[in-house]
Amino acid sequence: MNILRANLKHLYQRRAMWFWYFFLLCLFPLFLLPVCVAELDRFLGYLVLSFWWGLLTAGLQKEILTKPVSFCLPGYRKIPRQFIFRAGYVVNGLLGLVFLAYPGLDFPYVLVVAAGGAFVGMVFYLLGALGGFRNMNRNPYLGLFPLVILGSVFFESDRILQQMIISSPVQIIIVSALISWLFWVWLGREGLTRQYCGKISLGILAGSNYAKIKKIRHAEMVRRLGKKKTPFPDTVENFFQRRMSQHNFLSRGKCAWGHLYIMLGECLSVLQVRQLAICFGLIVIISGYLSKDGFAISNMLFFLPVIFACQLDLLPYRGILLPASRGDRFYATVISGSTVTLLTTLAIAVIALISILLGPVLPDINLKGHTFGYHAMNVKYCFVTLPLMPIGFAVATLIPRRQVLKMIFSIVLMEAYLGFYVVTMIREIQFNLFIPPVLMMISWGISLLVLRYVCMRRCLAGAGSRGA
Amino acid sequence: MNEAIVQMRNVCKRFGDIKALDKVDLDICPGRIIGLVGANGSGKSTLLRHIIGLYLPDEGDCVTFGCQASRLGASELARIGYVHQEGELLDWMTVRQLIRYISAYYKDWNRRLEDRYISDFDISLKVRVGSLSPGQRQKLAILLAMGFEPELLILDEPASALDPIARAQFLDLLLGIIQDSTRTIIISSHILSDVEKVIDHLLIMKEGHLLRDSSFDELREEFCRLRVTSLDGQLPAELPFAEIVDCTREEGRAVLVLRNYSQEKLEAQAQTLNCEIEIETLSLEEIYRIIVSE
Repeated sequence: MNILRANLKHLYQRRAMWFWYFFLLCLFPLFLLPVCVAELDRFLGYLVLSFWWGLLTAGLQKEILTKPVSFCLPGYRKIPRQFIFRAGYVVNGLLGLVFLAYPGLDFPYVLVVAAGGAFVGMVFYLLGALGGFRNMNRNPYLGLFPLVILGSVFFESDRILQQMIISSPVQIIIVSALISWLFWVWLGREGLTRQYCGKISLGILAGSNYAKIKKIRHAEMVRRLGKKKTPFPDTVENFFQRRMSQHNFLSRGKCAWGHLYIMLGECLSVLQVRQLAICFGLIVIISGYLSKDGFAISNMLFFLPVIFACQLDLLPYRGILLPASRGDRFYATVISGSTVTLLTTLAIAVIALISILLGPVLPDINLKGHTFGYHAMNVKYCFVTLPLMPIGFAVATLIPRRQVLKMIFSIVLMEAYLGFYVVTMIREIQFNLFIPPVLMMISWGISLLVLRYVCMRRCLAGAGSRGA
Repeated sequence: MNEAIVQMRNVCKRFGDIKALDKVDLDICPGRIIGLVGANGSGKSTLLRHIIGLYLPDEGDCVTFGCQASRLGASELARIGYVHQEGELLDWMTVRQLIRYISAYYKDWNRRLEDRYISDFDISLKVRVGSLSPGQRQKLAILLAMGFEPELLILDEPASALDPIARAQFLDLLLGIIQDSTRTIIISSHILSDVEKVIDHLLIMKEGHLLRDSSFDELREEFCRLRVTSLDGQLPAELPFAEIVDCTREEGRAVLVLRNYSQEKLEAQAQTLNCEIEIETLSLEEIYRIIVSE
């Protein structure tokens, strides 16, 4: 078997790829829909697929290049380039065929247009590949991706490009081919394999590798904390130490405060207040402007803590032996879970209040004939975190190592919340005051049962803690 | 004989299709320095984790300090020190913060000992735990496990990440703490040459089974290497010694590994054969290889 064929096998042998295939499959109808509805006149939706496919193939190749063994494999150095270009040709060649459905184009001119579409797809694919290669770890800026798409749709830049492809396909092909050639040269350079060999990388495909994620998070934490003398001010340490010392040795109180210290301490040590404030500020403002009367997108912000809860293992550092029984650990996880839930609810309520205060200050924006008014968050949705966060904690503590499952669970939970939100909006359902407490009782009950099972019946370390 | 501080009866543990522990029976008496050896995946760490209740058995009973491992309370756990293989520590803390945090749990934390280890191991208090090298992390883990002078000290591959000098220091440290005859130490290691310097009892594991559970002296007396040199230049085709485990011959010489030998009997047989014999004890590594290959 030649090296390239062996490498291509990764496309189905790498389990994480199947998750992304599913993701792309879900996107597929969305981008083919305009083709079926010709009046929309938007044929370039597939560029999103091309870009994402580029991210994936480059991520896969980069992951292989980081393995020192691939550096030593004879004849391997040019393989990533061949892999990326072949995977790009096939997929973009097929995606470019959407232009065959473009109304009013004669044969054989339509073939040239389709080729133009495929070449443009190749450029977007290579841009994705470039991103995949350049970012050693997951880049938070990928979160802006939907905004970029929305922006380009709003400003109709896709229509401009589409018109260029239809009116001047040959020029488009020449320019795209030139860009592809530049990328071909970049990928063929001598130092490529050396550049990635042995580097730690948390690419788009490493979502399920808990050990790797942990290693990279720690490396990142150490790099970030390196600038600070201590992870957080001494007052924080002294606060928890004082609370611990107020309780007797071997008591539950000491254990609970110690547990809270390592849970909150870790969060505080990596917390970047300024970045977080900017991030939340932008989200509150942008989502506020994108909201409409009766449907405030900004209310989705109330769900963000639940996503955070789905990632938070309430039993961190299970392998460290401390004088705390399994019962003590259960007690400590319940205390920590409740504290984090209350603090987060408080924080999100403050954000909601700020958004309400911003309401009268922020002006309406006129853009291309549309008027965008700011819609504040509805503070009554604060109760969402109280019943949903414990469910997130329970899942994260039950399967701390199954990143993909946790991600899928948070998506399902978000869909449920969205469904609930839309139904209450459409049917104008008023909240019964009894609903939140009942929901809370049910979710906390389930959460307590799960946490008790994990703490009392499960293996707490290594291969024994299934999913851990 | 002292009452066992750890008792395992018919303990079985499965991880999917893999039987990590298979009907393990074990008694650990106080004051012993026990070496736990076996290949990777033989069940050493699983066994140790059962003792401290991190793992729960699928079948059987594991009792530590008179308490079922699943119900070990804070007072029992405060008597156990554990250095684990993965070296899991709170990476975001500085070394000083971590020592302060762990020591806050123990009433009898020995500050003098802590200072001694810090200076012996050359550990900087200001650096972040996550930035320590694997060797330094292991030293810190050892400090944290020993700082409160536990009655039962469990060391799961403690020296695997240490360089030769640090390993020698660690062995000195171990030799120092075993002077306290009430302390029990279980040390699991692949570096058998290190282990054999300190242990007085040996457990050998293979594929979840406990192959041997005996005193190290007994085990050393069970096997020997016998060098036989013929005084008339010839050795008979079949040597008359009992329980030969291994034999290498060359002209009028032979090197044999024997089991259950008696020195007097060997000397008598040597006279009959007109041979000169030399009896040597085997190293732990050699004994281990013989037992595991059986």
